[in-house]
Amino acid sequence: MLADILAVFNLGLIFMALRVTTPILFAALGGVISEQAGVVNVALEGLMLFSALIGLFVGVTFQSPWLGLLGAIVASLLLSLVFAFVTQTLKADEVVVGIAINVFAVGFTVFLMQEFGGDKGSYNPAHPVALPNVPIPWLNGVPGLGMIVNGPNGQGLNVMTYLSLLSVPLLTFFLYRTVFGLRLRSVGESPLAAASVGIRVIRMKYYAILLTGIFTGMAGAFMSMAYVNMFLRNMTAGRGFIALAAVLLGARKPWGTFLAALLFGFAEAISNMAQSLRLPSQLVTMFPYAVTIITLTWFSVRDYRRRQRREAAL
Amino acid sequence: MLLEMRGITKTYDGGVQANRDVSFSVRAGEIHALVGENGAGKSTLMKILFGLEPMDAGEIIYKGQKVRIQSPEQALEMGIGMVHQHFMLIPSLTVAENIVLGHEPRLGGGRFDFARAVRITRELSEQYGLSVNPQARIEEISVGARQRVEILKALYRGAELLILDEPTAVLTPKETNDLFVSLKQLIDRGHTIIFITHKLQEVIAISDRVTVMRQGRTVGTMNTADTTKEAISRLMVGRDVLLRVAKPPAKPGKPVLVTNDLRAKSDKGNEILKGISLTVHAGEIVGIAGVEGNGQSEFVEILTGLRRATGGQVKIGGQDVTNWPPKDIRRLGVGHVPEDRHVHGSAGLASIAENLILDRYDQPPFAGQGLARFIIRPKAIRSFARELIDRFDIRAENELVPAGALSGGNLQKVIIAREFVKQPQLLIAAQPTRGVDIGAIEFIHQEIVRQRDNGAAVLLISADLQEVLALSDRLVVFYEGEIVAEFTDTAHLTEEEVGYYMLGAWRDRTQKGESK
Repeated sequence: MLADILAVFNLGLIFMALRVTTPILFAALGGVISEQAGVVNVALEGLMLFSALIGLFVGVTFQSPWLGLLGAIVASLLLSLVFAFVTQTLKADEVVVGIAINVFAVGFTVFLMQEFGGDKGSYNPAHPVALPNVPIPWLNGVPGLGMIVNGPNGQGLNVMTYLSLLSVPLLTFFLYRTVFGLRLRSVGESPLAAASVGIRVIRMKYYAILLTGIFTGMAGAFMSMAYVNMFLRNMTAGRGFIALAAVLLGARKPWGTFLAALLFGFAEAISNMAQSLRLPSQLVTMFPYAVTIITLTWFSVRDYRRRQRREAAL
Repeated sequence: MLLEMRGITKTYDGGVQANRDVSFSVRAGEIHALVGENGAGKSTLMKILFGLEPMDAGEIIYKGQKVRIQSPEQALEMGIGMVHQHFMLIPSLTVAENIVLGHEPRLGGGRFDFARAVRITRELSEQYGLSVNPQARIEEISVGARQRVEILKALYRGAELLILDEPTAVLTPKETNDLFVSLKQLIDRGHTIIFITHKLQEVIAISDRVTVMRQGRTVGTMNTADTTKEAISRLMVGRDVLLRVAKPPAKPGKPVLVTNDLRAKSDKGNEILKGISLTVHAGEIVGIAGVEGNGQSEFVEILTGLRRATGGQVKIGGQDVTNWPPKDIRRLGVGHVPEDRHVHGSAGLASIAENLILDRYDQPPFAGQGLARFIIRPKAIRSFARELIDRFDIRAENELVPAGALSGGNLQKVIIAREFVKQPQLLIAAQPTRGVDIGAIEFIHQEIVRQRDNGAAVLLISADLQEVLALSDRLVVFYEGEIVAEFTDTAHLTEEEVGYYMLGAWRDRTQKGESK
């Protein structure tokens, strides 16, 4: 009996983890593109937050989650364009501009909510829209797997979750099998060498930043039209930074980043599950962030040692 | 003529006139050596030809047509390729990827055709006899192989005229020989090569013609067969006798710097100093000769407190100062002209005045005493700076100009001024004239000799053998972290003789004429 409960708990946890990983994974894959092109994009958080609200506005206005998704992507692209222009054309510091965008996004979304919803804390539309969940009923017959992909209530994973998972191999292909990916990576690693063979470095960085914007737009859309069907002040709650941590932990590669995002997703899922237990809630909500800090520290130490060994070997 | 450059003039933003009315021409199918000292304007001229720098005046005629070359891309399209001194390769990518980058073979749908890139690389490699492994990553291959990749890259882009910027600077003698063989093959296949160097034996060995540049001008072009090393070097330097500094005989006094069995590890963790015992007396200049990377830099870093010794002892003026912090060592009256004037020698964003008081900002008259030593006195600093600018002939608008805006020679004078004006008992000068124009070199040399005559113990480290020979009263040679030779009579020493020790061909000589 107890074993059954435990088994259900574990598989349900995987379902939940995949769900909460989705926005982190989208944002992190976006971060991978920027990082590979040599752009430090700390604006992931702000891009996500901004696109979550705009996406929801558009979706509710047209009563279509798909137009909402498109709206979120366009919003993220516009803000990314500002980031690209200021950092690449005007040569401002990427970290400073990224932080500015994050701060701007928090303030501006509150302002918009106040203007159009009349409430500074949340925007809770009367007729919300949601990106659909996709249950796969015939998998219910497969022990375990049914629970993982369809969840305890059989509602299924969200379409965006599947899209985020699919994005991992797609991005890998894009970065490592296409001419564009080759150039993008060369620009990131050695801009001077890339320029010397005629690759337009600034233009490539623009492309990379905009591609990142598409991913953060999808992350934002998931937050306000799937994870919940509303917008809350600062609802991203640091997911953009956790995504950034996943990028670094995943060594800037799609699959590594996916695993790191999944790790953080599990941490969040456990924290969500544990909220029903009688533990201090502050401690529980802290859990995913603590995991982030600990793994990053561990990773840095490992990386440092490896570097030392390599240098010693030379 | 394949290429003619006429009346090329280029002045950089900082006011440095790199090219003044330069004329330069290359015949199809020749290896044309372009020689000159550092700062003579060779690299600038070639950057203009390759579209990396715009020219202020002049014209370029290539294959009989007047051309404007505004980007490397354009140069490549015309068939002009360049192999830079610092390689333009992406370390984590493979050889094949690097070669085709920018002009990649494609499959459908924007896919990169790696297999074809490998094939192309292999074919080029065989065709020109430049062997590379197409699938190896750049970071895994040797410097010589990287250079072959660079050449292949240019050939892939259709280069007929190849510019090689100091290609042998990073090569071992064997790699240099292999390179020369490959270059001859390229000529046989109808290519033309411009070969930038300042090694005269290479000019003689490989070139058909040679053009000499000095101080931004071309001072002569001749057939290599009709000239000699001596004739070329006279043109390069602009006078017959190479850098012999007029100095009275040394009068060595008591020992100032004594190192005893000094040992250290390099940044990579291997043993870079294997027991150096050296004494420098007051009133003498001791030179250290050696190929870079044989421990000289680390030796200086230990003496100045910038690196920890793993064994042995350093004494300055009788004090044991082993592993003391730099500030305390400096307070004993140690002047240090570091080998990299940007990294260790100056703060680029700080003004000349601030740079001049870097090691005495907390002492009168630049700061008060007691609590007041935390407050600096700008007036005293500025008047001190003005005085030094005048005395050391630093060419700058005023003392508030950021040090980073100065030309190499002027920045070096700022550092020299700071280190020399305090009348050190020990002066350590590493590469004091690297990248500095001839006028400044003479000035710096005279100042070094003057320090010696005022009783300072001088330790001179230079990659420029002529300089060490000209200045030193005594000379030691570093090879693989050890002193392999010591010469007390430098007046009759030849470069060749020292060179054998520097390259490890000979060892263990303590006195001229007698081997251990």
